[in-house]
Formats: sequence, C-alpha cells, structure tokens
Amino acid sequence: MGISIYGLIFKGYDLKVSAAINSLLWIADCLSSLLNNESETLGPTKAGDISFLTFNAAVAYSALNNLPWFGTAFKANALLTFVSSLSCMISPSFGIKFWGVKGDDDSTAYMSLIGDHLFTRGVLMNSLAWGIDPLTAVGYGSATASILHVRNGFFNSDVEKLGIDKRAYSFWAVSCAVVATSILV
Amino acid sequence: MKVILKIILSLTAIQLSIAMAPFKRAELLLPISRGGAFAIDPNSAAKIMGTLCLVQGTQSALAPTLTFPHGGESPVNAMRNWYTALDY
Repeated sequence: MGISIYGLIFKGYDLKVSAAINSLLWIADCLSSLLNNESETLGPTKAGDISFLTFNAAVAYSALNNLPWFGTAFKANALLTFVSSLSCMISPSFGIKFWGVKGDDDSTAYMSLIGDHLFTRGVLMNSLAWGIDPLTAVGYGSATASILHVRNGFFNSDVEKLGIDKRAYSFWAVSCAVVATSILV
Repeated sequence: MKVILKIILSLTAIQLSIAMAPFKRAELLLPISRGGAFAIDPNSAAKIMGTLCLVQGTQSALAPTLTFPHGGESPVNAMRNWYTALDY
C-alpha cells in the first residue's frame, strides 16, 4: 500500500510504475522462498509460491515493457490477492492447510492478521485495477483497514492471546478511519 | 448529538492546526472547507496513510520483533513479518 500511495499520490506516477515495484518485491520474496526450499520448513507450498510468482511476473513484465495486456495481468493479480486473503481471513485453519504454512500454535491468529493485510491490499489493488481513481481507492483501502483493525484488535480471541499492543491497534483503526472519512465523505 | 460531536471534533482539528503551524503543516487540516469533523484535506490524508504504511512496512521488514514480539526471532516469525511488510 505504501509504495502504491507514494508512487500514485506523492509522485503522480503512472499505475504501471507502482505496480511494477510492488510486483518486483513479491517476485524477490517468491524466488527466495523457492530457492531456499522454504515450503519444507516454513511454507507456503511451492504451488502457492509459483502462482504468486507467475501472476506478479506477468504484471512486472507487462508494466516494464509497456505492453497492452498490463491491465488484464494487474486485474488477475488483484483477484489472486483478494481470493488468497479470503482463505486466510475467513477460515485461518483452512488457510494454513491450503497454503501449507508451517508454524506453531499461534499460526491461526497470525494467518488471520496476514489475511486482513492481504484483504486490505486486495481492496486497493482491485479498486485501481477496475479504474477507480487512486485517491478514492486509498479511501476504500483505509475504510477496510479501519474495520479489520477493530475486528482483529478487539473481537478476535485468537489474536488477543498473542498480547498484541491494543494501543497500536487503536492508533491504526482511528488513523485509517480519519483518512477514509476525509477522502470518502 | 451529531452537531455537538462535529463541533468538538472541528475545534480539536483547529487546535491541531494551530499546534502544527510552527511546523508549516497547518495546511494538513482544513476543517472549514471540508464542512466540519474529521476534516483533513483528502490528498494529505492519503499521503499520511502512505507514510504510515511505509513506516510500518519498513519496521516489519527490519525489526520483526517490534511488530510481532510474541514470536521472537524465529524463522516462522520472520516469514510472517515479510508478508506483513510486503502488504504494507
């Protein structure tokens, strides 16, 4: 989100620039995971890494070469982000099995948090992919983030067990609400 | 009730504007032009969100135990923080 906002709002760059930078970061992460065989020790599965690698490579390649199918690649990647977030957010235990994430007893809570982050990013990406202007897209992303911070910070017993600082969570919930209200209302 | 809440929030925004004036950031808060409460200029609001996200993402990448202290410095926790950093 930060890179998208920096590129689109601070600098006024084309969507292709921020999409390419974001996708290159994901490509680096997927390659690192695959080359270090992390599917055996940490997860996600190789299929998961390869799917993210493929979709992000398509976005980065089409953006960097200014190809006409960039829009389609970006939409596909936005949908992948959205769908993968749902599997983590709605049913974290299913998400752990589906993505082959190895971990410990806290993994359910962490999957829920990562699902929230992915979902927020998915809302921003899908808004941009379907032609909503960057400022409004940030508003939608912020509104989503605010609601999800309240949900996980105060109404999720799994996350509560982690002992995450509620002041920090409140700060994010309020900040996102103020940003969303300022943009959307 | 809603009117009272708006007045209180507008006054808070004006106070913050005055407090921020020495730092030349008064333009961030424009309560009157936006008609009352929660009134930050939309473009500045988006910039604030972008800055917060970049700070949080960098923190998750470089100082994992600050974001998720519970998991310590384990590889699992580092992985969780990478995904958090990528999302932010």
